[in-house]
Amino acid sequence: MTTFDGWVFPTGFPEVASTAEVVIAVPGVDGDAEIRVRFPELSEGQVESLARLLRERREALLDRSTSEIIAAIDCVARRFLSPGDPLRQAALTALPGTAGMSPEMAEAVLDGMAADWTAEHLNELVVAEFGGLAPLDGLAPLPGGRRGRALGLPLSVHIGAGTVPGVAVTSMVRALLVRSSVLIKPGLGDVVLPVLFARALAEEALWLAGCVATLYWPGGIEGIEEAVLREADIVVAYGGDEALAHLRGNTPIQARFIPYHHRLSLGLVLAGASGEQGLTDAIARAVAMFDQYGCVSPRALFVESDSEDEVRDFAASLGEAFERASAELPQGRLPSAEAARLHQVRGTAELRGAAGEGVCVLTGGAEPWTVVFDPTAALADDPPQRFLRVMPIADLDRLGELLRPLASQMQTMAVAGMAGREREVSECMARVGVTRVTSFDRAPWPPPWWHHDGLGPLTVLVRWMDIEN
Amino acid sequence: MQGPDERFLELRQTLCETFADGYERGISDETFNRLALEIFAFQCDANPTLRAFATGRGVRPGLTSRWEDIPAVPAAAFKALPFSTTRLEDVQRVFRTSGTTQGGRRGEHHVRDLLLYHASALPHFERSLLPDGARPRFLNLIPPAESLPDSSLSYMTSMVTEAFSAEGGAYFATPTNDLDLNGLEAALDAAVHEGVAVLLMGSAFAFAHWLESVEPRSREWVLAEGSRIMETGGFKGRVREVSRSELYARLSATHGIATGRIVNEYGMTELLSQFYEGVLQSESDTPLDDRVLVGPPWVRSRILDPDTLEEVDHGEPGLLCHTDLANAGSVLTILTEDRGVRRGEGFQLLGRVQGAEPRGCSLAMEDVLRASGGTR
Repeated sequence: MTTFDGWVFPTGFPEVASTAEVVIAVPGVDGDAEIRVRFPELSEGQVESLARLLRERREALLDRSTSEIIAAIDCVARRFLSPGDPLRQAALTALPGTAGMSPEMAEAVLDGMAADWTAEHLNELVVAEFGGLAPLDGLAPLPGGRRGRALGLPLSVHIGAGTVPGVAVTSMVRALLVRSSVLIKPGLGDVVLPVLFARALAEEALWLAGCVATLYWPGGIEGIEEAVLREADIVVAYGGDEALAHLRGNTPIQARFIPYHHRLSLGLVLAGASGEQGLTDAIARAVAMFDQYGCVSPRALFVESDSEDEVRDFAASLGEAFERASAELPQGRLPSAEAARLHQVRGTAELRGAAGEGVCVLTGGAEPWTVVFDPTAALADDPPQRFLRVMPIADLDRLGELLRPLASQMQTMAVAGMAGREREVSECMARVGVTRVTSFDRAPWPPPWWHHDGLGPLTVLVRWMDIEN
Repeated sequence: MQGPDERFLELRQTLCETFADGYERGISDETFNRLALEIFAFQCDANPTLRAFATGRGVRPGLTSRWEDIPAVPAAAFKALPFSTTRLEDVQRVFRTSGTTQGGRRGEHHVRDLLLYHASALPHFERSLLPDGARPRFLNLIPPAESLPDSSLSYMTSMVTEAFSAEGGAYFATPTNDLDLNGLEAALDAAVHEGVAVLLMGSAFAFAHWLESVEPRSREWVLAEGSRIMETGGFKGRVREVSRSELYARLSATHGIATGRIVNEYGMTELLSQFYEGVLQSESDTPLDDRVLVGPPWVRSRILDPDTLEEVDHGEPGLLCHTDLANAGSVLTILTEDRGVRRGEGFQLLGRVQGAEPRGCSLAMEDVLRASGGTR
């Protein structure tokens, strides 16, 4: 039995006497192990004091340069990336159990996420968002002959989903870059990294760590969530539509609310591209990464072709690639509700095949991947467990018609065979609400400068002040 | 050579006879196995899809010797395909699931012959709700079959009301599940006045709605001794407004019916047999947590490992899979998405794993499809 403390208060905040815990059952060969995630039970008064402290500490941030902030964050990022560092070891020890991932996956996810917190990536992000560091450091010239200053809101509250480890830290880092204090509630599956990050930040730069409170509590506990939201100047929230609607309802009207709600990412193989070297492996890895839980994970694949046979053969060749990807990045634990769903969907596909609808099902032997060739181009309620429905699509117009109703939910479109068709593809994708077109190789790892769900990840956090001549 | 229709009629005859004395004589493992394999072979002959499905799973009808080897059809498949052993235009009734998932596409159960529905549902209902031979007045918070012809629950409610209700049985729900609150109040008043025992039947949702209407006005009844309640659905551990113990306590207080006389029913549109808690058959008051759902002897329910679909050890949780001989006209063995655990003579439905939270971000394809109106 392991216990993990799911909170880090800024120095000077009194420890809380009363704690509670959530138990995560981790299935193993010798029966279930348990991880206990403890969390403090804060009164509304304590939440108010914590918010007051974070606002006070934020004043110290205003005297620091953006470069200093980046350097402090970079120190922690490098420790997460450095093979011998105890911080990395602690993360890799705690991640598989809490996030339900295989150790190999945990390592890949940590490497990919922590790279985004390095100075190189953060500088790239700030430059992409503001044209340079200057507008964050003080009055600066802006495009169009304007002048202005960008400053984050005093206290940002972040509510994570817990789907993909590292997302909460990225949210925290973005807020610190624009000089917002951070009160972050990670999801249970992402509780480890923000806690370890905050502890390490206190070792590297106490002035910055003083602006951060990490605090897990299980969703649905009354009192604390409302109290935290009342204190926010801005709320950045990740999660399901229902959960976000609830959070939005409890956020004060003066506070900004940034919802990163459910998104749908898909794959598209354009005509003539299905034979591209390495394509099937790239697709399999894009699907396998985060065990397909990422908002960037392709959930279905369209192949532009007028030959069903060609697409069926392509689906068959994906099977081998999925098997290889499973060996490289083994599947984490399958929640029982999703295992149940998987049988329903696989069985239904098999039956549709048996009924002569042309559907073929390929599944892993010991590994739970599934590739379904489905000649009917229609999205289905497929479970996110390395499950890919492969469907032929006549052309981009037809794809556009199919996706248009989903425009408010679309995110990444991983595309193969773009050469010579960039303009046509980008026009089609922009019109159906896709916010990111990329390759299958890059799909799991957006660049630092990406417009997250179509929004500038930093500009969405700041308040601009314009100076008029 | 016997034609498919004669073969079905003969099977139906055998099954009706088997069900009729199934409680008295019991159905031995051997009889169950023989009948199940016979039905499976018949269904494969009558429905090429099932045959191809079974063959794809390496099971050949006629060569199989154990009913447990019959491949289970997932309940979700009823949303994608019609399963019938006769031409679709010849089935007697199509029941549809309420279908809130898969972008609103509803599952369809093509019922070839309603006689088997009656032959299975009536005796098990009688044994579970009326074991004392009582004939209370049925007051239903469920719409009647004629107003909701594609609801299997409405069909069953009308069937048992016609068969067993004392004079004055009535319905207080519209096809959109609005309740006739005044009508129900008047009917309860009348039953109290006449000293007639009642059976109230409704979904957990309908009862909660009913209580919200009468409780603020402090309306209470002390219904005649022998009164009872059948509550269906709503307790599969999903997020809910009211816990089961709270609902039962409030139902009990409002109607003067002990919680031990409130019976939970679990049924599926895809199955012609139902499951009930056998609490009315026992003298002692079984605590809610110890109650188990029991099907009739012609249904065998297994708990399967969610990874391997092998049967789990006794007491281990898993997926519920039902083999229902009454389903001879459609699909014999059905794999559900419900989690359960074997206990005593039956099983208990399980809720969400403790401490588990729904995982967000890309997870809810269902949300995405629902929000967009659905594409399949």
